Amino acid sequence: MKHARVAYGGALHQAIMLADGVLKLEDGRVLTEDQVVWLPPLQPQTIFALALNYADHAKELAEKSSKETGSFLKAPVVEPVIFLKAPNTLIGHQGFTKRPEGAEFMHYECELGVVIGRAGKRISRTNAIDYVAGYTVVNDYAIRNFLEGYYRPNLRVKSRDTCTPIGPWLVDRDDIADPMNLALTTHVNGVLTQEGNTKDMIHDISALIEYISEFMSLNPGDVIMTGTPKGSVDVFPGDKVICEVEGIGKLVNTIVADWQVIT
Amino acid sequence: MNQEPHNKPPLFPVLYIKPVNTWRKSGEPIILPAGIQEIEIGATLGIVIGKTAVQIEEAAAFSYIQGYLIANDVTIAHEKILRPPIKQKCRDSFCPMSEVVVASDIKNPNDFHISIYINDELKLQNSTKNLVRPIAKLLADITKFMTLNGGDVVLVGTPENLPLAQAGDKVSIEISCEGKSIGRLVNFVQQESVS
Repeated sequence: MKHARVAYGGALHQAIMLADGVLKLEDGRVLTEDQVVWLPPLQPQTIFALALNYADHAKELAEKSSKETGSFLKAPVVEPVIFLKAPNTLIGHQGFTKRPEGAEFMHYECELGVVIGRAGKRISRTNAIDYVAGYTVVNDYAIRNFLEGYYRPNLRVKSRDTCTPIGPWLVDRDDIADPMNLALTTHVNGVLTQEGNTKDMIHDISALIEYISEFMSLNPGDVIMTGTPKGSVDVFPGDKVICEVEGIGKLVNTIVADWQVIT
Repeated sequence: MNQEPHNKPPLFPVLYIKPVNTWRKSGEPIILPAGIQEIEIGATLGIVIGKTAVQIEEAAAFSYIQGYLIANDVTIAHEKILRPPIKQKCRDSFCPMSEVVVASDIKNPNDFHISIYINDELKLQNSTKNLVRPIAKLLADITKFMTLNGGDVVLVGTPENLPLAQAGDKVSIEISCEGKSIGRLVNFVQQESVS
C-alpha cells in the first residue's frame, strides 16, 4: 500500500493510492492527484542524510572542487558520512523550492528515503530490514557555494526551508521486493539529468541501520536519506525537477525565486 | 581556521542538531558509552521559541521567545570539526534539559551567568555576555533560512575550556540572571552496560 498526507476541502487527510494519479481519503472520497495539496507523507523527528554514499557522486563533486577539498571527497569512505536535517526543511510533492539569493550552484539530489518503523538500538544488519516501515522519495537540495568547512555540510546548505521535498508516498516495506535494486532518475524540464541505482550505494540500507543504531537509538518515523548518485546540475527558478525512484514514486518540485518578506 | 580544510573562519552560525534520542530531564542519567572514558560538560542556555519565527528582525527577536532553560550539550571531545559531530554529540542521553523559566521572569536576557559543578565543586563560570552572537542576532541569523516553530529550542553555545566528567560523577549546571538563579540541571554520569 502507498500512503499519503494531503490537504483537501479545508482539512488534512490520510490517503492511499488507488491507481496511478488517483487517491482515496480515509473517509472514502476518491480524488485525482491534482485536486489535493500534497504534504510530506510523514512528520519525522530525526532525519538522517548520507553524504557521498555513491562513489560516482563523490568523484563528480571532487572534480568540481579545489585539489585539497577534492582529496577528502575522494578518500576511501570507511565510515558513512552522516548529517542531520531539521523538519523545517521538508515540503510535499508538487511543492515549490526557493533558490535563495546568492546561490551560485544549487542542485537536486534524488534519494531513496528509508522510514523506520520500530524503535531499536544495536540492530544487526542481518535483521535490520525488520525495523523498516517503508520507503519514500526524497530530493535533498544543496546550495553548494554556501558550504563552510565547519560541521560540513552546514545547515545553511542542507536544512533550509523548502529545500527537502519528500513523497508523494510512503510505500509499505513489504511492497518492495528488493530496495537495493531500484533505479533512480531525475528529469529537469523533461530532460534526463541524473541516473543511478540503489545497488551502487557504498553503505546499503541494512549497513546504515546497523551503523547508526550502534551509537544512537532509532525511533519510529525516523527517516534515513540514503544519498544520491552522479548527475547534479544547477537548477533555476521555473525549472521543474522530477525525482523518481522505481516502484516508490515520482516526486515533482518546481524551483522558484527567493522572495522578500513584506514587513 | 585559515588552513585547509577550513580555509577561513565561519561567516554564519555553526549549527548542529541534538535529536530526540539525546533529550533527558534533570535527574535522569547521562549514559557514558561503552569504551568512552569521559565526556565534555557543555553547559549552555537554551532559548525556547514561543511562536513561528521566519526571517525575523533582530529588534523583534525577544518577542518570539517564550522562555529559557538550562541544557547540557554533552559531547565526546573531538579535534576534527570538518564533519557533523553525530557520533560525538548525538548519543542517547547527551542533551539533558531543565524545566522552562518563562521569559517575563528574566530581567536581562543578555547576561545569564553559567556555573558548572562536578561533584559539587565549581569547575567553570562564564556569561552569555561573551557570546559571539547575542541572542537576538542568533535568532535573526538562523531564521534567515530556517523557520523556528513554537517549542523549538535553540542552544546558544557553550563556553571554552569545558570540564570533563566520568562515570559516577554528579554534574550540576546552574544559570542565574542578575544574581537570581533560574534553576539547576543535575544529572549523574552512568557507564553504559552492554549485554
